[in-house]
Order: sequence, then structure tokens, then C-alpha cells
Amino acid sequence: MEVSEKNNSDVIEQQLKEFLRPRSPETAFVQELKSRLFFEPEITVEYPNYLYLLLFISLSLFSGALLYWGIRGFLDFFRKKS
Amino acid sequence: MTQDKNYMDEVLDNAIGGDEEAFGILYQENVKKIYNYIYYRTGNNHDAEDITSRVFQRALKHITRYKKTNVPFAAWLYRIAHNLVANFHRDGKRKKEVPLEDHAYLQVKIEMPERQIENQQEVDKLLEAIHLLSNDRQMVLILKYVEDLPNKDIGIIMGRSEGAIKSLYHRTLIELRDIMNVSD
Repeated sequence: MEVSEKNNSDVIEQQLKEFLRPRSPETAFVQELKSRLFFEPEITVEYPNYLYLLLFISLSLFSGALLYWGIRGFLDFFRKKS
Repeated sequence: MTQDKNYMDEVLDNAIGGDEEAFGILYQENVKKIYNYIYYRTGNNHDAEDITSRVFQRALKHITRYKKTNVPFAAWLYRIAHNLVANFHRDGKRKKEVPLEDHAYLQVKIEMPERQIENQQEVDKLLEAIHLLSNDRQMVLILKYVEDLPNKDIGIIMGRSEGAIKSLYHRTLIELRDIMNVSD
């Protein structure tokens, strides 16, 4: 019984020797990780440009008011005439 | 040998002082070992690369707090790797999607096709049995067989005596044998 257990352990040790072999990581991974460690990517957060939005709204409001004033003036002119 | 040791000591001192180039040398010296350890603990290339990255990111972040002792620098990295792998398995009750070609068991097939045909079942069984062992026992086997380290060096890395490692290895073999006998 003991002899058989010893043999079993020997077989397992033999298998461990055979199957647990060192593996090399991919060269690309090793290089990439090295550059990632030392060269942190510069991250810039882009915020929406509110100035353009403000300018657009102001222009729209101004054009609307101008149009309204023009139409009203035009209509008043015809009303007075008639 | 002593010259090498002195050089690596100097490199380590510089790295502790925040020298990135020195840390780069330590990285090149240890990346393969750490990857191998994690690869055999996780069983696939994808997770091994991910955890290896985290080990070195963490090491770089904390290197200035590293206290030099008689224990080699690699032992510190192994400890970080050991903890991250333990976290990975604890959190990893979730299902993981692993590309088939990344699987450790299939790697054997790719590397030795003829032998694989004969031994595929044995390989599967052995690696599955190893993954059922406790973290420390898996570590002993990987350091002994993959890294080919003697018990004394394994003891230094694991913070135990040479005798304790010998005994741990013996118990590991018995457990492995029992697991494999049960699964027969």
C-alpha cells in the first residue's frame, strides 16, 4: 500500500516537472507595460465651449427682436396709411 | 556574483530613491517571474497580463516606502502578486470570459501537439487539481517547478524556514495525490 502511494507521488512529481514549465510573456506586453509605467498618457478633459452657445442664443434673440420690430413697424406704417 | 549583487543593491537603492530608470531595471529583471507565477495561478494569459500590470503599478507607487532587508526584492513582488491573485479569486466567483486560445490547458497542446494527444487528460487533471489547493500550496509548486527554486529560496520568498517549506511541499504532494485519486 505504502509502496503504491510512494509510486503515485513519484508519478505526480514527474508530471509536475513535465507540465509546469516557465512561459514567456509576450514581448509586446512587456514593452507596452514598461512604457505605460513610466510615460503616463496626458489626459485632457474637453469641456463644451459655452461662449459659442451664448453667442448663438444672443444672436438668435437679437435677430428675433429685430424681425419682430421690423414687421411691427411695417404693419404700423400700412395701418397709418390706410 | 558579488559584483552583480552590489550592482542590483545599488539599483534597488536608486529605485527606492525614486529613480525610474532603476525601477525599469528591476522591472526587466522580475517581470517574467511574476508573470509566470500569476499565469499558473489564473490559468490564462489575459488575466496574467492584467494582474502583472497591477503588480508593477503598485510596486512603482510604493517603492519609496520599501524597506531593504535580507529578503530579495522579488519576494516583495511575489507578495504583491500573491495578494492580488487572492483578491482576483475572491472576487472572481463571477463568471469570466477567457479566450479559448489563452487557456493554460490548451497552451500545452499548442506547444507539444504529439505528446498532448497522449497526455491531455493527465494535464487537465493535474492543473485542475493544483487549482483546488490553497494559495500557499499552489505557490510552493509554482516556485519549485516553474521557477525551479530550491526550498531555501522559496522559504525566503514565503517568509518561512527551509524545513517548513519541505514539510509544506510534502503535504502538498499528498493532498494533490488524494485529489487526483478521488477524481479517478
